[in-house]
Amino acid sequence: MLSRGVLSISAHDSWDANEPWGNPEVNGKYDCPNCSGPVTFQSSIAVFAVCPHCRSMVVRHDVNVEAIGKMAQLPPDLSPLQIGTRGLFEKRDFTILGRIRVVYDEGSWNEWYACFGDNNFGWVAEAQGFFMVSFEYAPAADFPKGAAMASGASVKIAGEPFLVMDRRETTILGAEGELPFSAPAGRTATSVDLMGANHRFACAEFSSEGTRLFVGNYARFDDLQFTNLRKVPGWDDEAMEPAHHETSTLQCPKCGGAVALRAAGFTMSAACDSCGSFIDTATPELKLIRRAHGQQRIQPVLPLGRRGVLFGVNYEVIGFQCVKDEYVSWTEYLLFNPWQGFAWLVTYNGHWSFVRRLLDTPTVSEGIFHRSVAHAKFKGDSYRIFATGTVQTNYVAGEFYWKIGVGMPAHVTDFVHPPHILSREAYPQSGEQTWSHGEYVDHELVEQAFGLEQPLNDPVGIYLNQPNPHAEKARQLKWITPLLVAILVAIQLISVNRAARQQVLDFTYNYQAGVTNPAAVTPPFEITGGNQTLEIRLHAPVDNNWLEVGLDLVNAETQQAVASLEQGIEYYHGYEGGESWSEGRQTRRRLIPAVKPGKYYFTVEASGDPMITQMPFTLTVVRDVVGWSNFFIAFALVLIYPIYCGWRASMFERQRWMDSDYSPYGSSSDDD
Amino acid sequence: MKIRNPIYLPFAVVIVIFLALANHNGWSLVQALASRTWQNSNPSTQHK
Repeated sequence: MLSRGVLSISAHDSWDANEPWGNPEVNGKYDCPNCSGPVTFQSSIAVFAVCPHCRSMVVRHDVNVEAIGKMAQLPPDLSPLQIGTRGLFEKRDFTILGRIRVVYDEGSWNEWYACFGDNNFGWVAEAQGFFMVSFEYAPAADFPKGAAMASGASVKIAGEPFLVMDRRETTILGAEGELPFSAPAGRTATSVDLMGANHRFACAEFSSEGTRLFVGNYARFDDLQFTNLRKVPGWDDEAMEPAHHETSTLQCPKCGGAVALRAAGFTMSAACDSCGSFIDTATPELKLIRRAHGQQRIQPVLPLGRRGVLFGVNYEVIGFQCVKDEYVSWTEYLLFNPWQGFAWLVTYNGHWSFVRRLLDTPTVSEGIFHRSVAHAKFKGDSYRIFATGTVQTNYVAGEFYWKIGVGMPAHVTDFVHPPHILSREAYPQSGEQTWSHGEYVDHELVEQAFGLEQPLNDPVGIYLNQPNPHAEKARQLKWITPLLVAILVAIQLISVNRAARQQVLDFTYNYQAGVTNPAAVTPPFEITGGNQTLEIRLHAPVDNNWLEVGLDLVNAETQQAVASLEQGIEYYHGYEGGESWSEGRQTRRRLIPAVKPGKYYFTVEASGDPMITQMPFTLTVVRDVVGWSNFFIAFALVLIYPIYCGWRASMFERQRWMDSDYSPYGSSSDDD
Repeated sequence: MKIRNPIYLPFAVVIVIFLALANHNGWSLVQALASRTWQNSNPSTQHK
């Protein structure tokens, strides 16, 4: 997932950045000095054009033109842009007038020269399916150079902060159309890409002609609203699942086997299907990057060349690589769409993530407090650091947009905010740093998208950005549960407040030991209203002894016992081991629920501790009280499921973070 | 809003309604269970 940036072009000597874009009145048509075919200069500042008929490089002087040689044919590519393509950038229409193709050690890209109307010209760089639109900006006198522009350095341009993303030596491979400077193949420069906040982009170019600075914005294909696009071979005029795929075929310089290129012009290297050698496909010479080492061939589960629609875009699988770090290995599929560029499907243990490169740099806050860790902020979400380490590729197949090399190390830091993941990749050898954003994808979605004949393996374990199935439930319960508890409390408080709590009986019974205590009958009392709960209070002055009371609630009209209860009253106390103690109470309380309205009385029987000779006790009855047992049962029932969900979610998260050195749940090493 | 707890929500509503009705009618889940035990072992008797 290497970034491939823009080259800013050195201007011709006559191109003064402070002199905006020349005089439109000198625009015009000329005859090619070589073939006499018409060569048009639509741009007032264009001084160089490639004759569309004989590919002569034509340089415009004040009144005439001169041919300075022939431009080699540009290698075929799948770019949907062409000379004459129109677009819209920040409400400004532009038209593409010319192009140069630039190569560097690890890849190549197109720079499209465009007229933005009103005699303004700029550049639309096209790399990896995204675009960088920039305009020349005069650098300050103290603009940094050399080592000060190393990857990761901070640079201010007109007070705006930028971060150096990469630095590379570039060469012009070829050109077409008209350009504001002479662009023969082989022209070299040093190019430094910078990234700012909110999609801001800048490029500094250092060459023998001095420093040039270009400032603009990153954009996706859809942002620029292109029209008059070129028909892309094998992709246009096709349904989402095309009938055929057009590929360019090369011959492996080692074994002579056929090497299919599915994204010609976008990819820089390919692995030979026959011998496994890596071939540089950036230039027509097809240099061998590395010979095959007789590795055992791995069959990717997503076949190369297979197309599938993911997130509304028809992607073709063009590359496959196995990557490993210190502990585990996983596989990555490179997907290509001529309009939307590249994306990745990363899979490990049956888990899949869809990954695209970011045009923004997330803000990283390093942990400064004890136990605090780094977080990355992106689009308002906070991503917690999960892992950091060195990864390297140990197997490749298909083609790639950089020059592949098995064993090429990259330092990767992953930040997670399930189902999203942010990855920061730094390449020590190129000084390059890129960010990519991934989203967890259900394996069945991948299976369906690519129409796989064999089902994909089910996921095993918990992946770092796998969505927590319990967390969503728990998140919803986080506000539903307090609401329900509040409703329960409100119901209970209203019920308690509305209850009559009217005393309807106060009866005293004298218990006597040694005689048969006859069952006493209380005076009748009236229960009015609806069904209700009666509160029975029994009080006896027991003191290191006990009394047992039996009560029957009898309906005075039907003589039917509607409730019966036995209640012991005991109270013991003493002094032991220097401390006083007590046990039991002299007053006991019982509830009789759902008593219908009517006239009732109690029959009372008692038995007592042999130590008691006689003891009076009172029976008090209060009607229409509200008990709390229902409330506590309801409270428990309402809370059981949320607690269970929260526990499951927590267990899931604990398991997710078990493999991380940055777990919020601590680790065994913390206990040491 | 997507309901992610399709069983819990109706269940919780039933609990809320149960509490309101129980308080209004003087029902007690605990005592009902206890009285069932009592009724099983002590059938209703006539008091003279």
